[in-house]
Amino acid sequence: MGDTRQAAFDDVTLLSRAVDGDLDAYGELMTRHQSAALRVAAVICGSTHDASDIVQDAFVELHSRLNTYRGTGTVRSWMLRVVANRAKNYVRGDARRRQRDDRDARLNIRVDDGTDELAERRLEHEQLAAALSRLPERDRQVLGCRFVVGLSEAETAETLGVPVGTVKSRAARALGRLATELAPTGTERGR
Amino acid sequence: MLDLDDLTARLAALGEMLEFDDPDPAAATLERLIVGDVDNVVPLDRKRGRGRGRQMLLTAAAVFAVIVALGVLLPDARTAVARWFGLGGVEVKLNPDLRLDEPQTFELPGPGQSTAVVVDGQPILVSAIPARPNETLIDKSVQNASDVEAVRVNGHDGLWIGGGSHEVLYETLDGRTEVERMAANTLLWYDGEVLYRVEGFDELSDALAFAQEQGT
Repeated sequence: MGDTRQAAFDDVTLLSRAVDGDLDAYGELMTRHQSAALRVAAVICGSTHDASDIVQDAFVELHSRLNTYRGTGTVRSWMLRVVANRAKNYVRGDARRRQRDDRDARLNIRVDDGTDELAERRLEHEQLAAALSRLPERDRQVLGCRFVVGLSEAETAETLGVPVGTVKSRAARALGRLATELAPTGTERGR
Repeated sequence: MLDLDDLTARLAALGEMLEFDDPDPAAATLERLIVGDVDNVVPLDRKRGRGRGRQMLLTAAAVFAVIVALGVLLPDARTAVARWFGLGGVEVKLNPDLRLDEPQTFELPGPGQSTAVVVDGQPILVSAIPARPNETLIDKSVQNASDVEAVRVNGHDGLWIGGGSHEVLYETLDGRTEVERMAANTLLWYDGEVLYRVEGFDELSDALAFAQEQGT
């Protein structure tokens, strides 16, 4: 059994134990997938600041409906879909949006003390994050899940609730748009 | 134009470099799931209990297995999990050995205690928190909620806070400010230095009816 299939099998086992009331099993399940969950939330809501709260709320919600997993996709994508829906609702909530400070509404990049090269790379990451944020919402979601989070096409489709074909076509189109955004002329437009 | 393979690699690298306020939400979630002060769990049939005044008829007597505060508190090892429900960060499991032949009564919990009640199949958490009424903190609780309505509960001023997750702030008897995050709709009212909190009803009218039946 390959690593991915083994991990998916283990997830189902953990979920089954969690349904039976094993909180440690649910903790393990959350720990396994919280990194992906944080990134899914961040690329959808556009803010690493808000992502942690969104994921926490999603995990609490998931725990109250563990027995709703139907086995049609992986446990991970089932969890991530709840996170994604929470993030989408969060963005749509007028009250929440009003409360958000501008400085919180962005993707924060880790600061590594060190060389000029690291500083330059950080600048590149910031430019990429800014360009990503200028894309249409659906493009950003697909590119974010597919490449920033590193989900497969199938997982991206399950997480975002769209067909796999849509993920493929939208990702190709969005990559082109992102490349244009990052090109010198696109940058100068300063949109 | 950038090479697209290079671009996808840069997106992946961006994902690795993202920095989150809380990189471990699993730990925080576990705290929310296991921290709670439920002291009692009762299955309650409002249809049977309605109209009987302050003391309500319970459909079952032998209760209770409760998961709370950093551990599993089972009265004995024979009690396996029958059913789980999650409510506002408190997870409760009911004893499968419920006996249906000895009606009991339900009363509001005493200060510092909570009781989980199953009302018409829906989990409701009733808590009595020793707290001083503090208008400033009530205002703050209201500000961060999207659906708030002022109500009267058994002659006391109260608040209905709906619309999903929100925070409730209150002042403890020794003057500290506490913040609790609620995941469910909440009815609040003060009776002297006790803050009563009823979580889990979908509708304000049902929450009020439940609270009026208990009286304070």
